[in-house]
Amino acid sequence: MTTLSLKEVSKRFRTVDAVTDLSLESESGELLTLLGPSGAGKTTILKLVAGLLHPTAGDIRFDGRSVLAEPPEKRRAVLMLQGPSLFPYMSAVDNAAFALLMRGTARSQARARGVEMLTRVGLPGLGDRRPSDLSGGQQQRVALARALLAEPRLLLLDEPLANLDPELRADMRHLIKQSQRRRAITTIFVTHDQEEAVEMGDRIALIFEGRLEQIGPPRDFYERPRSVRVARFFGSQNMFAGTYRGDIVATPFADLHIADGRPPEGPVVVTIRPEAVLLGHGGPANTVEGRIIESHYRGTHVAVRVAIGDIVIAASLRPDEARSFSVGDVTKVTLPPDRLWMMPGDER
Amino acid sequence: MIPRAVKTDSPGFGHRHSERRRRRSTAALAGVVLTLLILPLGVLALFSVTRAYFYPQLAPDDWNLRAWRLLLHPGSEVWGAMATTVFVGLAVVAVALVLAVPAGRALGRHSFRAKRLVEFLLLAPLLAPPLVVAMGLDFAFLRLQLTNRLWGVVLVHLVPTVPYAVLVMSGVFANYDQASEDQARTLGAGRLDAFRYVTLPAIAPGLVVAGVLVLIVSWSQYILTLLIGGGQVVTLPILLFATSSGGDTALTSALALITIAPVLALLLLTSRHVSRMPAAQIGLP
Repeated sequence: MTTLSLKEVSKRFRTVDAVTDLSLESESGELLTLLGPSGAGKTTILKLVAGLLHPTAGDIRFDGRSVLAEPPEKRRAVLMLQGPSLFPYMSAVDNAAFALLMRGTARSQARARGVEMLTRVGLPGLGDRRPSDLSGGQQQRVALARALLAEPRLLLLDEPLANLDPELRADMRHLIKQSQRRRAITTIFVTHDQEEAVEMGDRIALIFEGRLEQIGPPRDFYERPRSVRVARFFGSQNMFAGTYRGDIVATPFADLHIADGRPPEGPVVVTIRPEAVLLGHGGPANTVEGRIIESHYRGTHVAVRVAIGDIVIAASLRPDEARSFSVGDVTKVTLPPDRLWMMPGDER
Repeated sequence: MIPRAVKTDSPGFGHRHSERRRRRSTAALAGVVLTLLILPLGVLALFSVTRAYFYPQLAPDDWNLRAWRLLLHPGSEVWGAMATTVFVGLAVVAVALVLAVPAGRALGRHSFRAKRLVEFLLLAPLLAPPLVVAMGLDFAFLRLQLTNRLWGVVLVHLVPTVPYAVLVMSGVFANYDQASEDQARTLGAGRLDAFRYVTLPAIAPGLVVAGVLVLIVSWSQYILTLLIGGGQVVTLPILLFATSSGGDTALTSALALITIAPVLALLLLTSRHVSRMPAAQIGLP
């Protein structure tokens, strides 16, 4: 139960700014995912928190107390890395009990707790194996046991699942989240996979080029992205440039009423989730006519594309709704004002 | 390596043919190498057991073990020289490795502006003629009153050995992934513990290679030992040169074999470690 706060942290490698002026607060016991494209500085942030790197400027606090003067072994911010990070010369139990041994726990006691923890992560009876005799998934389980036995104040996970195949990855996600919840360990989970970030994170901190772009619950990134880059990173399909003036956004295909979000007047980009787009029944506002040009059945939903002039809007229908439409139909398209979201338009 | 007889069950005629040719050329190469290595030793062995063996005699006519009896006699100087050589060698290995690990780590892991320069300076003692180096060092050691002492000799042997050790270790560290060490640190291991439990086992094969190399170089030092030891510190090479100027071929040959034997044995014992490491990893061209 530790809160982590970064205060205006910067890290410079010679001439490269890896992290710039980053301020971040984690709540106690939450799982915060650090999301961003590779090279965005996510791993650098983890290493700064772990104490393996020292920030060029700013402060890092655990429970409000600066830890900058403390070396990694004193911080109890345990790192779990991508790929095989077990110590190859030690058995699985010794790996798991490493932190206890380093703290001076008696060997027999440390091993007993190692065996117990290995059982808890689903590896009963494999304690005497060498890492090279374990599968990739089993190695990650040992690594998790090792991290948990260190009784971390903070758990720092650096794409720990990147090398696993999809099925194993789902299992490990579940196991990590479950272990983290049960012990209420404040956890920072780094990933470049937006889906993984959404699934794992209580909140997401999106990092672009070493700067915090947006932080909040996963839902915000889909429905209320702060910028076009965020919307694009989260795969937004419907983005239309327009001009915002007096509660109305003028776009090439319609003047749209908007209920929420008030950027300064001027150029904006409007976005809407495909599942919020209504077809067929005309609403009180924001209704135009369009022609259905594509329709693809996707199991849980039907992805439809509608042309309004030379603009194409993606909509997502329930399979039973979609039955009443076919390609070529001209229909009413409604963009509900409370589901439209505006972002500043003067960006790439 | 001596190739075994050609297998007759290899699949495909053409394949078997080229396979056989390959094996034959390997055998030829091995033969040449073995001849070059063993022939001189064989000649030494032959000389060591005869009093006189001159052209055009086909075989020596007077066989005896006089030289060996003299040298291996309990009161012989050989034992003292052997002990001195071993002591100096081990001390040099210990000090060289202690210096080479942090230096190799810095060179292998980090890139910094003066790195090329440091590497060049490191190799400089190996590039300069040994006599020049020895004379200069003798002068310096005289002033420091390190001459004629065992420790002076140990110290001066570091000059030609440390560069090799650092080169080997920098190669090892260049290929060593720091992630395990980072991992250990965040799990509560201090710098020393992380080194001892995580890094050391990983670099151990490299340490063996560096150690063997250092021991061999130290073992064969003559000029540096003679100048700094001033004749007071008698190692096997010193004894060997002194004996050879005495003109007794049998004695010299036997002593040469005694000098070579321990190094040869060590190489055979550790060859597994040395040959298993890819050349790139031990930092040798």
